[in-house]
Amino acid sequence: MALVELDSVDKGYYSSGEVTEVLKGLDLSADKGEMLVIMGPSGSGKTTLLNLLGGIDVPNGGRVTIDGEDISGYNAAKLSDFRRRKVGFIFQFYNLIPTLNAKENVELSLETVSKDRAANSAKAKKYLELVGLGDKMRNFPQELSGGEQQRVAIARALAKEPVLILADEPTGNLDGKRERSIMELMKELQAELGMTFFIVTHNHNLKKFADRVLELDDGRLQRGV
Amino acid sequence: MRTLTLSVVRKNRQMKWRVIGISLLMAWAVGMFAMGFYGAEVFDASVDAQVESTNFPDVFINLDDFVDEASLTTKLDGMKANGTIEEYQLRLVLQGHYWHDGIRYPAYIIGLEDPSDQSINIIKSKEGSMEPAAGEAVAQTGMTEEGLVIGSEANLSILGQSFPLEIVGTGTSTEFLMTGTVSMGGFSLPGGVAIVFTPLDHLQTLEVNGIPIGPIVNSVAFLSDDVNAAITELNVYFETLPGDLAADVILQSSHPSVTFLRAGADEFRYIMPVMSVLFLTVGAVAILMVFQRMVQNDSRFIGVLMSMGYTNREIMKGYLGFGLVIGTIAAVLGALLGYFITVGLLDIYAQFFGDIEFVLPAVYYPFLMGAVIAYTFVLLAMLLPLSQLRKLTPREALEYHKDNRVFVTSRRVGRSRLSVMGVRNAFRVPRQTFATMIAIGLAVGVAGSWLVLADSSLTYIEDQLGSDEWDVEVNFQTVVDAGNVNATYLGLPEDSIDKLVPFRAFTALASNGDRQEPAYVTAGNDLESVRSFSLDSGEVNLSGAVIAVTLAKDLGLSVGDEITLTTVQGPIVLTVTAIVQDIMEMAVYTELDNLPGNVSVNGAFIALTDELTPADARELLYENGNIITIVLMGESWDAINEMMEGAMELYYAFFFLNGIIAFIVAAATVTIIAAEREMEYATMKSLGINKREMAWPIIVEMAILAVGAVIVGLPAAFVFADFLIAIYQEVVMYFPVAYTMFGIVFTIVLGLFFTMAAAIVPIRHADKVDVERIIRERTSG
Amino acid sequence: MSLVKLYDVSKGYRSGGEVAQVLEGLQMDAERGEMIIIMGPSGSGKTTLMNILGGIDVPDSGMVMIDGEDIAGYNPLKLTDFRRRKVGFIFQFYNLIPTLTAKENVEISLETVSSDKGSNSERATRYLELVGLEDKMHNFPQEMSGGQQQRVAIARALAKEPKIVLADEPTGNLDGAREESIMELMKDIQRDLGITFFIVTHNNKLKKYADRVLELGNGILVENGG
Repeated sequence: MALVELDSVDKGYYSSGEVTEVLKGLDLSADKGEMLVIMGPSGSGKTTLLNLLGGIDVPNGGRVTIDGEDISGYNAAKLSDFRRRKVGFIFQFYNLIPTLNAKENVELSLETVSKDRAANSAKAKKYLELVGLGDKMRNFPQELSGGEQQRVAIARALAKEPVLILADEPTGNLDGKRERSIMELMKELQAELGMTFFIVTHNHNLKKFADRVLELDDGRLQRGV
Repeated sequence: MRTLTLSVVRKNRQMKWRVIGISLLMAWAVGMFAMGFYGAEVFDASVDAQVESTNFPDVFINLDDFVDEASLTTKLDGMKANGTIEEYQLRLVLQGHYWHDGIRYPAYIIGLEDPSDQSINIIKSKEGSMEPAAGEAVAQTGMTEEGLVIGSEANLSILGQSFPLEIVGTGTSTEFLMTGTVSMGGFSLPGGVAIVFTPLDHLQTLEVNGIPIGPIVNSVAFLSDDVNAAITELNVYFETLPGDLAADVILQSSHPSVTFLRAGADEFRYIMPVMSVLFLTVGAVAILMVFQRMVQNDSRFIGVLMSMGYTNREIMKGYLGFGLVIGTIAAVLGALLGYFITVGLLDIYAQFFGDIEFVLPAVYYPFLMGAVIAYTFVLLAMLLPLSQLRKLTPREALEYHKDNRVFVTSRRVGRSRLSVMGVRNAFRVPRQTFATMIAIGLAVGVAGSWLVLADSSLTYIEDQLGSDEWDVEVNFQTVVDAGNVNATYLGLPEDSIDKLVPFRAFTALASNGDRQEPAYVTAGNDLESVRSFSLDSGEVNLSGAVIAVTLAKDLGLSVGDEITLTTVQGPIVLTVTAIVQDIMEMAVYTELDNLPGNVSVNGAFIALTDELTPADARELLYENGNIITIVLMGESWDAINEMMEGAMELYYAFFFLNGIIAFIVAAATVTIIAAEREMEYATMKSLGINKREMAWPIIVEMAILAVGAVIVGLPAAFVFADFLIAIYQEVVMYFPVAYTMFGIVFTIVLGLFFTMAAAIVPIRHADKVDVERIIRERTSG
Repeated sequence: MSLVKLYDVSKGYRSGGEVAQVLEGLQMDAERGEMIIIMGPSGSGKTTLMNILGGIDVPDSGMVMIDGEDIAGYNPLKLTDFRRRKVGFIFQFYNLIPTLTAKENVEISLETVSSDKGSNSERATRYLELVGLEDKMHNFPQEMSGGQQQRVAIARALAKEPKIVLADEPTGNLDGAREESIMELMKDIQRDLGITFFIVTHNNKLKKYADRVLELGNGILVENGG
């Protein structure tokens, strides 16, 4: 069975007396362990799709089923709980908490699911080593380069071992060399841990890492590769 | 208005309640400022007008014994002829009682040659006739509720002898505006004194014990250009006369009617502007916070303006224009508030001050100063937030790229990451943290200062009264030989008296070299057995003079110096042995034996044994016709307590008001912090951190800020209280700062409470963060 | 002579102790009245290039000649003056000032160059008519659709008759039909007024409006389509 199942999902925003339809009857499914790259011009609904998958937003119509849960009718508290258990986010601007060091940033995320401090610490360490930051665990975000910060963000998203990782332009702020190394890291982790990745980008260079590329235009899926 | 300014003003319509709130706060502050100076001007002008329009005498001499009217008239006519005095008024002032509905009130029955005299000490007519015939009188307004109205027959008695007078008119004599507000027991208990004016010759026909009073007087008031010469000449004259003429010499400037009004002026002049500056400071902090936030929130808007080619300076001017709008509202509204509240307050004061006619002088400086100070504070408050615009580049403004560097240490405090965040967040921009602590701390300090003030004055009054040992104080109508004042004379059983201290109380001119002040002298042997003194310096020894702190300060006296008391019978020079804290600010205590002449007294302190209650004692003392007033310690306690309660309520109200202001300052401060961290809240939310968990680091952070604020606030409270008390000492009364556990604990607890309560603002903010919007807007490159 | 000429332009940003080089030795030129579309992935330096062209940012090295002025060495004050006289901006999120009406939004831009209220008002009216909003001049942004707001933004950028107009994803928030009408409007204006347009976008469909398409990748212009 598919891990992610979107069934004729509609999403529009109401502003100044008119509705802007962002997603129109979108159908989509993804299997466990797939890496999907979503492309499309600005305003095509990529970020909205990511928000719906991550339980940050709810659709106006249709169903969003993830790992057997239909989250389309969830309230704020249930959505928060859902994000806790099943989703990891990676942002273009990393969004690390500036007052926590690398390890603590990862632990903060772990504490939402477990209060076992020793286990959390061990897990944070393991994932930071996995992203190649074994020697920078005590560094604060401002002491890390952009690429390193994004690695911390990836460790943070992965450490609680969610079923779904959502990344919005994860390499948008990195140059070519760092872009490749981050993508290769995610690819390895995908292969190793079997998580499902949704990556939103404008960058055609990322296509080659994808199992499938989805093209969104004007709220509709154009083609699946 | 330029479109740029218009856009800033309109932009901030979203913040309109906050802006209106700040404008009102500033207007209120300006209003108080203007009110302080304008109110003072009104009082001063009103005193001058009152003095001017009633030909208020320059000097009053109240003799303790009677002198022959004819010979004093001859003397005064002579002085008038050679120009030493301009006008004079001879009076026979008899103290007696006024009975109404079974209650006895002290009464002054004043014989005047012509109550309608317009040349000196005019009685301003209110209703009816100012020309009473024999058996008729004009009553001073103020006792209408007690039956002293036109047409009534006032049931008066003098030395137990009934002396009814029909009231034909009511009027206001400036001289007696404040009568009854100063009583020798020490406290101001306004009202409750009947004052009637009746023709002198009629009063002189009154028979006491079958003997007519005869053509005598005991008081003179006069207008003079050379006051000192006139007094000296009269003193010399009085010395030639027989009898015990120890007397009160009261100068116009120290007459209660004038000093009370001048004190009112000072109260306005000093207290209001201080309060105003407190409010202005808080208003300025609020403005600072709001503009700080505005400038940050408007980042993109500012970026767009910059991309159009607006210079940083022009944009700053746009915001400045907005600030000037606040300043202008505050100045205009403040001036109106100041004026109308002053006028409104005067109505209330008018009742206190016995129907004085207030005049509103046409002075503009209080309002201009208010406006200037409003603009100054607004501009100062905007300086910091606007200075950020000076160096802002359009790229930074458009991209929201703020300096995200924070101060962090690896030291771990707290158990969970959330607690660690809270602690580190508290210090992430140390300069801002300390500024915040100081801002909130000062607000807490201002609040706490009222508590300390209340606490100190209460402690002081309790100390003062609680340790006095007399139960009853009596004042005699005519002086009595000290040796004759005993149980039998008073009409009390022998075994009911524990201690009896007869005293002579009078006002005198106290001087030290060139400096002179009116002083209230109480002379009695063994006074310290019934009165306790709280020592400020020296050692109580009544063979010299024991004087109050304020008097000592005003005259520049310290222990060991000499104080000169000028009485009608000549000067008394005493060595100051002790300076004491006393509710009577101008008090001088000494032994009876230090007074010249034979030792007669006009009052006594009585400490009772268990045989008699004070209330029963009063019933017995009523029988003595020579006793004018009876003060029971218990009752004056109650009166004082009532008075203090009123004052305390005011202080507590100020405390809570300032506490709420502290809350507002704290809330305004952390609002900015919350706005700065929207992205972090959004990230945390996306991690699945729930509402309760989001609140925790904020609570931790606020707790740290609160502790910091209290650490600043507690000493600030005592410093501010010291400052307030210094002003109170100048204006109202003297009392020292008291460091009580209550004041300290309450300031700490409520300081923490008011600051912590502000956590609600960022908690709500964090909860309401729209993750979807923030992530979309701030990450779409 | 070209209106715009960039020679050997480099720009980097320092973050976390390392310099991220965004533009490296960039060369570019544009003629008066050209419409140039700049494409490239996120992080390729599109926005930085636009910022340099618009005098919002200065390069670390190189020459930026625009209408005969080398703005590369300008201080903030001179840059402001340059923007005032020669540049119009159009943003993805329109960035109208929400508290000003359509006409006032245009006027506020005009006030940077002239304080003649009468002529500013007349000119704002003319340009709002040009973008087809004569009946919405007194509406506030929130009372207008996204497409209408972008038209106001275009009028605002054009009204002071700049030499170059810089547009960052001008249709990024609009759907297909509105996208076309905005692009056609800009194309008409380009032809009628001879203004040089630089448009940054991810949207391949905009290419057809361009006189030239430039592709940015890793800080250098890698492709010169036409």
